[in-house]
Amino acid sequence: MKKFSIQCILFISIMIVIILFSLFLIPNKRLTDNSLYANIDKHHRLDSLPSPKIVFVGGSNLGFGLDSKRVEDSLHIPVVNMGLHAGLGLRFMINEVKCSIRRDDIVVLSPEYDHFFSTNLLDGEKVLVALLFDVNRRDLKYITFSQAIHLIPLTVEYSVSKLMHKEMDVMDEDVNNNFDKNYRRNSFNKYGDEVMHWNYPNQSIHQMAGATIIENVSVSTLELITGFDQFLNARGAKLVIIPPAFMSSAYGGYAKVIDDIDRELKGVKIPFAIKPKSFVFPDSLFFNTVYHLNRQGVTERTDSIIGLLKTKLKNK
Amino acid sequence: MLFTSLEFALFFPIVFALYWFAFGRKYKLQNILLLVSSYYFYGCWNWHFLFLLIFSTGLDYFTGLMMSGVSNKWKKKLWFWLSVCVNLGFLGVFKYYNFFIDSFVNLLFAIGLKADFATLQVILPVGISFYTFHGLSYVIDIYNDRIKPERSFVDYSVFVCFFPLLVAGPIERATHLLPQIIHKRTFDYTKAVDGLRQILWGLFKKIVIADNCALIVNPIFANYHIQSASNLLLGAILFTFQIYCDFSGYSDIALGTARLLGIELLRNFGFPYFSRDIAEFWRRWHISLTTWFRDYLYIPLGGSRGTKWLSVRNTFIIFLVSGFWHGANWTFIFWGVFHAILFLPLLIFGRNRLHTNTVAEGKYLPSIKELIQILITFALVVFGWIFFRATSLADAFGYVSSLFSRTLFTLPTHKISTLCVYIFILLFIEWIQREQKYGLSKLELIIKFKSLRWGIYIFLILSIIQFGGKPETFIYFQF
Repeated sequence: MKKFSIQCILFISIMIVIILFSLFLIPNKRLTDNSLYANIDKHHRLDSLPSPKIVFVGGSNLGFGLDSKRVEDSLHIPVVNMGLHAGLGLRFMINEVKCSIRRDDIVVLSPEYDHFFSTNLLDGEKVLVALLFDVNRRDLKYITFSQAIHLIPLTVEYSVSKLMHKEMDVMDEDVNNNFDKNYRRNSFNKYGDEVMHWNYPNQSIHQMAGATIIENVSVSTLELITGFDQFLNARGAKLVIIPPAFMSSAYGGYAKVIDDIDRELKGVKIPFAIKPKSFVFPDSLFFNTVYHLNRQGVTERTDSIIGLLKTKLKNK
Repeated sequence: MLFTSLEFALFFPIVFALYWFAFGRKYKLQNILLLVSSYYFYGCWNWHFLFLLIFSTGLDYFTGLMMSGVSNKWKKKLWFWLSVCVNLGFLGVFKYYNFFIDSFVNLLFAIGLKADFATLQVILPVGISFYTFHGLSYVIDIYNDRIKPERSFVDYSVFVCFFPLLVAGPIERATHLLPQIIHKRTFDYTKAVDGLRQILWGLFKKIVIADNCALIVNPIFANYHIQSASNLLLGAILFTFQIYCDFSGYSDIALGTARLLGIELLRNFGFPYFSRDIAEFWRRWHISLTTWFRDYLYIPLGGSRGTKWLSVRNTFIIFLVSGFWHGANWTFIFWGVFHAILFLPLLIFGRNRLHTNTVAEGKYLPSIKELIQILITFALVVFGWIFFRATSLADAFGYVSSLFSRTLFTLPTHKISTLCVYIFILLFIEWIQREQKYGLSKLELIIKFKSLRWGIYIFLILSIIQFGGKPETFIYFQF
């Protein structure tokens, strides 16, 4: 038994060394100049803006769905759009902005609907591991203990995928499709908006799996949002939750899911600041997924958001 | 709790450590630990069905004691049939009731009568076919005075519920497993290493090959009517590998896990896709079920002791029952009949035991004749799997008719280059090892350098991790 135990420990140690070596020392060439690097730029802007400021937090529905300059010019308040990728997880998105929030700031949270159901999307998918280990290791400080536990198997998987040269499935759709230019670091403007795609025609729509959601709205997500609201109140900042932009033809399949989320948010007294249906836009305004708007769509949604924020500021 | 899940990766080391370090001195304590772990393992699926499992175990245990305690032959027979009927009754209610009702209603409809019978809205308890057969073998063996009943309920329960084999076999015999359970087990380094290797090989087959085949096979079978014939052929071939790697992978993990606990289970697979005819295939595929049917059905029916036609009848029954055992669907029955049709000519002409040795024994490569025999057998097996995989007979025939069209000579649209590499690795290793018990068995005899062996293990583990993101359930859990 002693020999067996020693051999097992030795073998496991070798495996751990290989995984750590791959994780920390092998660069992921597939990520070079990837859109994830925009996270660094967004943080620079977030940290450099004076308060009061408006911070948009969410996934790619924001990255692809906002004209921050237009908001800034209309409201005369500096704006940063932190929206990047839903797979980073709502917990990370919230935690990464917390320490930059000051008195009188406004945080506009626009989660994807899927964030309300999937544990992976709450605590982060493999794309978060890629960000943490190959893009911006300083972001590791935003990871909670329970989140770290959740990320361990994904980290091992990610590490091995680098070693075995397997194409990262999380990035495949980003890097390997025909529109990879839209998913590069330099496709974002200084506010954090994805703007490169504004000059492209609409692409075929990549359908999301959300229509098959049969779970209840995640209690953890609601707790995260209420906790964030309390945190902002304590800092003298304000939280505004808005629904993501959503494609009209896909809405039918999601209607029940969206109603559930709407009802649960009202239940915790942090309702959507605008009805979800108000952000359901015609299919012609979408670029390549049910969440990603094209230029015209961005303008329409941004105008709605400006109107909404003007009201909020007036009431304040 | 799947063998391929993280939960099991945590569960088993804890059981292993307690088993050898805390309870290693007393096998009775080890058995209690095994029973508790097995109940926990089973309860992770659906704890409600634990009561059914405990009841079934208790019934057979009690029947065994009662049969041995009575001198009256009729009373013994009564207890025996009570146990058989209750066991098969559970199986019938949970697995076959709806099938019989639906088939009866359809039959009445076909002759112009309308009927409306209530069907049951029940979930099939996982592993019911397996643990029922465990219990039955025990009761039958006691009835036939082959074994004495086990007095300890814990020990008997471990025989039925031992977690490595509880949900998908191998289907054990009391004569083989019980003696191991009621004796002290000692830790054996060589066997433990062998167990780990077999688990590794099973995980590789399941996660790397079967689960990846499933990604291509499922959409092809679900939308067969819009697929090209070449895609359909690809789907059928990949399903052939999927079901083998899925089921034999499970068996490898089960055998390896049990070996780590000092228990040897029955071998379930013997490289069936290298068979030279269907008879050999059935000696190498799901061996524990085939031999179960042979010992508890075929031989009691008369086996091959009577006339040729009697053994033909008995063989046909075995194939029919074997198909039906897999599930309550005409597709499985057709699959069984299809194999019977392939097997019976061999039996009639006395050629069913032509290939009892290993193919190309002592050689690197098979002869041309052997290669052709292997390919023909493989093609027939592939054809049979179409019926096994299809959701209905209509779908199966639709699939087959779409298969034979001009688009058969086009290129499949699915990208399978990486998968092909892994299937090649599987076939290569299994061919090299075809005289051993499983793919990595006795690897030290072929590869002398430990570092090289460890290199192979590391490669396999990395491949498993790479593909192991979302564990898929095992196909045979539904049976």
